Amino acid sequence: MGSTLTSLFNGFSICFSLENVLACIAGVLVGTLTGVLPGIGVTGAMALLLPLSYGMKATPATIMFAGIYYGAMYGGSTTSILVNLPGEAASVITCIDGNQMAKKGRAGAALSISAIGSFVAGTLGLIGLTFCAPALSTFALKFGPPEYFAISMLGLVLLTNLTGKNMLKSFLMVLLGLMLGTVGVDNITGISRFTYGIPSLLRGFEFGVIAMAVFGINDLFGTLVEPQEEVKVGHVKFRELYPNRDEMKRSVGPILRGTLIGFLIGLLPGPAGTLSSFTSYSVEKRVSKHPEKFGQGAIEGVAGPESANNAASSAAMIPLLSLGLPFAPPSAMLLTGFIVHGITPGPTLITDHPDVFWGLIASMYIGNVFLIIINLPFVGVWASMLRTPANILMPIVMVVTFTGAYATNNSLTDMVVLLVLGVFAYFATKFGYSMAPLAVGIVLGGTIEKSLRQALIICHGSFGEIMMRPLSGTIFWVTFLILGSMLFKPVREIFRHSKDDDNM
Amino acid sequence: MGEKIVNGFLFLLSIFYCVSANSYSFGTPVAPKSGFLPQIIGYLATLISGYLFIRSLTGKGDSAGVRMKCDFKSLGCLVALMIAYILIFKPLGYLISTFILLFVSMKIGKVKGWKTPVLVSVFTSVAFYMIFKVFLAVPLPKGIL
Repeated sequence: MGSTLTSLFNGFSICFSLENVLACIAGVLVGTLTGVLPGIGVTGAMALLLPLSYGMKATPATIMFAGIYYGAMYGGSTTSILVNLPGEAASVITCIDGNQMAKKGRAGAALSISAIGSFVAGTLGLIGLTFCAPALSTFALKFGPPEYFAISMLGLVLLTNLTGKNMLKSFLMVLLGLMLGTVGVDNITGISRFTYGIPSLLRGFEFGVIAMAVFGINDLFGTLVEPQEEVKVGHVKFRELYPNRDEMKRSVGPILRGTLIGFLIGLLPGPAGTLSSFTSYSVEKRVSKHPEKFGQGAIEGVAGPESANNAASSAAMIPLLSLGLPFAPPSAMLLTGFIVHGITPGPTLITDHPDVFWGLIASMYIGNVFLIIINLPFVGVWASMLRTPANILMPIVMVVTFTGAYATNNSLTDMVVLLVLGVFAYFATKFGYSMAPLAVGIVLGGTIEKSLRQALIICHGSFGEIMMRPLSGTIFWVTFLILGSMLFKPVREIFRHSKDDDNM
Repeated sequence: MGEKIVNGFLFLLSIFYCVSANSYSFGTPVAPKSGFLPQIIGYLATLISGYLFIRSLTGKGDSAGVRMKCDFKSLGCLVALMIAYILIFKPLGYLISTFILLFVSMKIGKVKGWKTPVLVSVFTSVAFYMIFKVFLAVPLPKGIL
């Protein structure tokens, strides 16, 4: 406890350098903008900014990336409340009551409660992260390849279950991600695989380019070629931002419950922000004495979900920082940001790079304060961003995307990969395929292959021996239980259909 | 129809990957080789994508009723423009090719008039050229300039 606090104070001293403060401000500003503007997702925005971080040092670069991630959660609520248009998937549920409040002239109160809830949940989530990540890192030092393989598999199985509407489609996307991850030189034997004589494929696919394609180009097509609703943005004055005493009182419980829900769901793989906000909303509706007011402008319907998605973004950092395993696309993008700067997150991150680890965590506390400052008084400015015509903004985003892809390796191949995968992602998303499992599959592919092969060598080729190890065995049994419960539903469906067919 | 095409594409891709993966040695469980994981995921992907493809062919796919709301003409133009951008990127250089990409895409996006698209295109291409070439030292192609 004492050493954690001392390290955190050291982190603050690192974070207060001009370079790091500027990186933090840049990150939260871009994050808020990403959250405000529909059509630019958080992972896509991080991928776009990856090339811009090449000239930066590791600590400010990671501070900036983290700022984009949690900043987007703040910004998403602004458009949900003011124009009934969620900037981020995690803010979809905020539209219901937030926009109803705006229609009743309480937009300012909804915005301020959302910002206060986000700040409280973000800070409490960070306290959890500050103490949980080092503890998990110390524990993870005991992990060998079988344990890493088991955890990665558990993460992918959970992700498949929690993402998208069709489990098989999500699983296929995980496999596609793993397939793409195997292109290039095999790290163990040095053999080139699936390169078909193309020299630029030897280094494999860059995750940044793939993220830009499946999130950036995909969103860009959606905004440019699909009919968009006309946006009418109302004005909110600073003096209208104060919630009244009753609204404050009614928000305390939802904020605290939302924080707890968000933190716990944030530890799970998948779209934690979205899942946590939906769960929080349904919990608030259930515990409310007036559930009939939900959907008509209940402040609890804003306070809970907005707190939950911010707490989730803090908790999602725990597996990344302590195990080096990202289970969601934004944290996978953060991992890429770390690797680009020569840092491998994992159990040894705290001991090998304490400046980066504690600097990053301290920056998130500071970033939360910046966010409340830039979000509340300047809410009108952010809302006015929505007036930027998409047909001017999106071509600019397209240029950043293509330039960023080229800058990754100074290669046209990356631009071709960007275009081909972007087109595929656009059509695949329309037909029920989620891109999050694909992105996570690519990032985890290397860890899975390496740890599986090493685990089999250590355990003399016996999967039974992997199962006999206490930790990896336990994780695998949990994985099998989840897998069994997932498979049981489709099997039951098949039997039910065949029974129906027989009766006909 | 769209779901059949996407599922069919994934099925063919999985078969292609599976065939390619078989050219690498699988090894044994005691000594797994380069083809070990690729072959496992290749067979699994072929199985799942095949099942999904057959379901969509028989009209039982979960997105069978989904209709795309996009403007296919604009989408085709955008993709063609992106292909053209990649082709002219090196011969014409970053500044000119990016100007063309921006200007044409704004016109595809129905931005009215000439002044705004021209000004935005010039300013954006020069600004990004400065950021990437000067500040980040990315060797962007000079082309004919």
